[in-house]
Amino acid sequence: MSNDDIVDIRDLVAEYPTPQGNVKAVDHVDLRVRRGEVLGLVGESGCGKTTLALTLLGMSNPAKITGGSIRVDSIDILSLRKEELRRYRWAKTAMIFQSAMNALDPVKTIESQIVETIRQHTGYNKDSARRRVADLLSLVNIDPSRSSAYPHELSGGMKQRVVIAMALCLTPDLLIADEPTTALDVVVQAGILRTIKRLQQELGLTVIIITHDISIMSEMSNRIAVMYAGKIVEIGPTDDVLSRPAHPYTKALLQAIPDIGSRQKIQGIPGSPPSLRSPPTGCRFHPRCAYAFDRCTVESPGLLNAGATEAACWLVEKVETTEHA
Amino acid sequence: MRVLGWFSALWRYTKIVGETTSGKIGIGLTAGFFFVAIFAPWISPYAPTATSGLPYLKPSLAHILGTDDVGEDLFSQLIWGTRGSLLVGVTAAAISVFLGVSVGLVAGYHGGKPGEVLMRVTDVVLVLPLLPLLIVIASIVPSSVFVVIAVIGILSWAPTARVIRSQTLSLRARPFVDASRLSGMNDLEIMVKVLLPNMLPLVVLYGAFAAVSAVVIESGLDFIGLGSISNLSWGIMLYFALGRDALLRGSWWWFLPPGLMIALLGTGFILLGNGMERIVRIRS
Amino acid sequence: MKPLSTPEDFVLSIEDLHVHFGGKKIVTAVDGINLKIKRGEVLSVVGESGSGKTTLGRTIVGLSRPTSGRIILDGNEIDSKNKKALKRLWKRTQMIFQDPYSTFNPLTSVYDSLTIPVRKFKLAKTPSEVRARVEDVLVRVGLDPAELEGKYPNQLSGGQRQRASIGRALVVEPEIIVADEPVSMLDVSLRAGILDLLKNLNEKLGVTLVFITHDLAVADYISNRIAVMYRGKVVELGPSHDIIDTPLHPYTELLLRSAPRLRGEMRWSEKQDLILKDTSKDFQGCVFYPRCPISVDKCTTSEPPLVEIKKNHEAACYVRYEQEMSKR
Repeated sequence: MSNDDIVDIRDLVAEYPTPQGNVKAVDHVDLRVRRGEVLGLVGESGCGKTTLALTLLGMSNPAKITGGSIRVDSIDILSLRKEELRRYRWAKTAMIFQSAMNALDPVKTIESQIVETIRQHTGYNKDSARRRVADLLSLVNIDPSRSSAYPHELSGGMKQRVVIAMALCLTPDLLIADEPTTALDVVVQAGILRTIKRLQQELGLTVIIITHDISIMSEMSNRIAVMYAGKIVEIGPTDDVLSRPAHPYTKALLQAIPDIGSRQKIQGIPGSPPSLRSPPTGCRFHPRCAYAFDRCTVESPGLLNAGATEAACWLVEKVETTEHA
Repeated sequence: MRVLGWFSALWRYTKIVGETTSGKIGIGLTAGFFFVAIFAPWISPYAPTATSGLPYLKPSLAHILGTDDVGEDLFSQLIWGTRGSLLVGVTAAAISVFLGVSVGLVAGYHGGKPGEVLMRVTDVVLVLPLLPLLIVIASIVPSSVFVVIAVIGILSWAPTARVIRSQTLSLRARPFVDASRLSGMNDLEIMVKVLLPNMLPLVVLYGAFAAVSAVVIESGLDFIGLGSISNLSWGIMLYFALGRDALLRGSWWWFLPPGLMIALLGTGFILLGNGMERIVRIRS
Repeated sequence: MKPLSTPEDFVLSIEDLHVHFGGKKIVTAVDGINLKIKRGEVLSVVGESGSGKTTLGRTIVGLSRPTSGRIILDGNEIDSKNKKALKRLWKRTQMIFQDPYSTFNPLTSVYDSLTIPVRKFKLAKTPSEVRARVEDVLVRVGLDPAELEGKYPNQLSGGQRQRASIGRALVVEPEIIVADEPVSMLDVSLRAGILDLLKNLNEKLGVTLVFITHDLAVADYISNRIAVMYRGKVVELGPSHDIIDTPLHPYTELLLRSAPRLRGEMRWSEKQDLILKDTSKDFQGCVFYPRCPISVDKCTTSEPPLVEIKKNHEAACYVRYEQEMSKR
């Protein structure tokens, strides 16, 4: 594992048991995240992105990890015992969960909630914890005098900032944000994303942003990883993934989104996401792919070098061989 | 066609309830009691008021539960008593549920001033003490099953109304209710054909609880002598058991079975209700 | 988008509409809107939460009652208190809801949900006519009637459900369909299909579409005109491309700056959305004043009216009006 990589996931498999058989939510995924980078993990519902992120916290329930390895800053997550996991969580890796802002305790002030989080993980006494809360609130652009407010007195954007402050209270190295702006209005969304970006720069964080909205990545991430049916199908620098995607799914996804002012025709992707209980043979995307050929129905491709990006697509090799011919 | 829809919904729910052991027991007990009540004339070995043996006989093959003080077969009385108890329980519960659902639906769907008024009335009924009131009424009015059924029904609908109203409010917020309006359905149709079926498990749940409570109250009234002797029920059996020295004589085969039946019927209804609660939880 | 034939043919006219909710604490959802909707156009109503766009949509179809003001459909005023009048209204205006997962009665088959309006509005006489009409509409929205036979909503995917709900709205052959965020709860890959379907229905059948959304990109893609709403008022109104390329109102500019783009920068600094000027409770000025970067004194005195500043392009802003006038 290179020193530059803070996250090193190799051949990870996470499965859900269902009455009809096991469902692979994460299906042989390799992922390396460089220290200090912002990685966008993009995909539609059911692609496994949240499950993948949860494994970094040692939380994937009810899915069970049945294969592969997860290393965060050289720590082997899968071998940690309960107590070690508890110490690892929040101190090394923290997460902003989807809809966390709605899960804030309505009967406690935001100060007391952050204090509780701090004291659960450290030996801070109440006063030092309170001072830390004031620092944290300023860090996320909330006036510290508002620490005695209750969640319902705050706007959606402010609640999300409180959640971010809670995630940062132990100065983690790795921050995972799961759909951090989905429930927010577009203006507030811009503010929150900018805040996350600033925090990343100020604190030297490594950030993984999970979203279904690939367009927010253009301003946020260094690299984008696109997931489909439990696999990473493309990964590369943000600009390259957005402007020169190699994988047909990425291409189709980008064509499905109207971009303001571009006036291009948008196109949906025919068919529907595959059943993970009985996925298609070979490449998971082939039933919906405009370019599928016979190899695609038989063999599932791993990530192959496609120039600027890596893509799990046999077309990449096809092009190469024709180029070399 | 629409009636079929109701039955198929009920059948589906019954199957879900039957998935758990407690649900199976609930269905079994309730169905069993209904069966006995309906087929009493064919199941019962003797007519309940016929002198079929010597008085105060102990249990034997001819008289499974012995006989009472005038030689009437107690087992037959128990079987026929199912009819009496079930009649009161189910009818009173039906009245209670009907009133409660109607009030709750209207209050929840229309809201505003009429809804407020209905809820205040509900609040008043909620705090009325049922049993004392019943005792007072029963001692004034000549004893009649119908009075008892009516009073239980009229005084116990309030909790149902509150729950149904709150459920109506929450369902009302869902787009398919608005869509039903846009589809041209009128308010009554929406309440009865759209909202009510979606609340069926809750209604049955509260119906079950209402039935249990009605049976117990009725038995209690009978026991203290305010019931109607002409309607043979388990409560009446207990009344006679006490009055005709069954306790003194230690004739447990007289006073134990009716009480046991009341408890079993109550259990059956409650388990059924619990099973319905599962459905409510699953769907919401 | 293709030009409309008779630009002054308005199918719906909204006059000084106010919609308030609540007893003890009054919530003003719609605060004085004057809007004329052209027959056959696609008008997007864009705004964030709290803008009143959903209430406006619901009032147009008669699900919410105006507190004051009128809505005139094809020359007839809508009487939302009269149940019979409402039923007649629903033959002519229909709605598509945001959440495909709760837009159908879970206990009724999808097919039956579509036959109900046909029967209620007496749009067909015999059962076979009813059937034919429903099947026709299902095909139109891209669903296979044979596949849908006997299916209940939970047996269909989100995309299919939304198509079916479009079918339900379409089956009465309404003049106006109000679509309330019809794609925001669908996966990205499914949205284009639904949007194109709606566009298609508008172009082929001439159904006027009022499209409610928070997403400017979607609004730009699908509509002829855009109305931008802020706190219950329309602050800008004009042809879609003009609004997107040359916005007039500072709020529209704010929305455009904040919207994520696939290519290009988000031009919004972190602190700017926290600009908040204090105003007293009886503040009578422009509703956007507290957040506005270009405000002047006049903005605190009274509410700017929605006026034409560029050709067919209206905005409610004193500053922009002055700027445009001084150019001429």
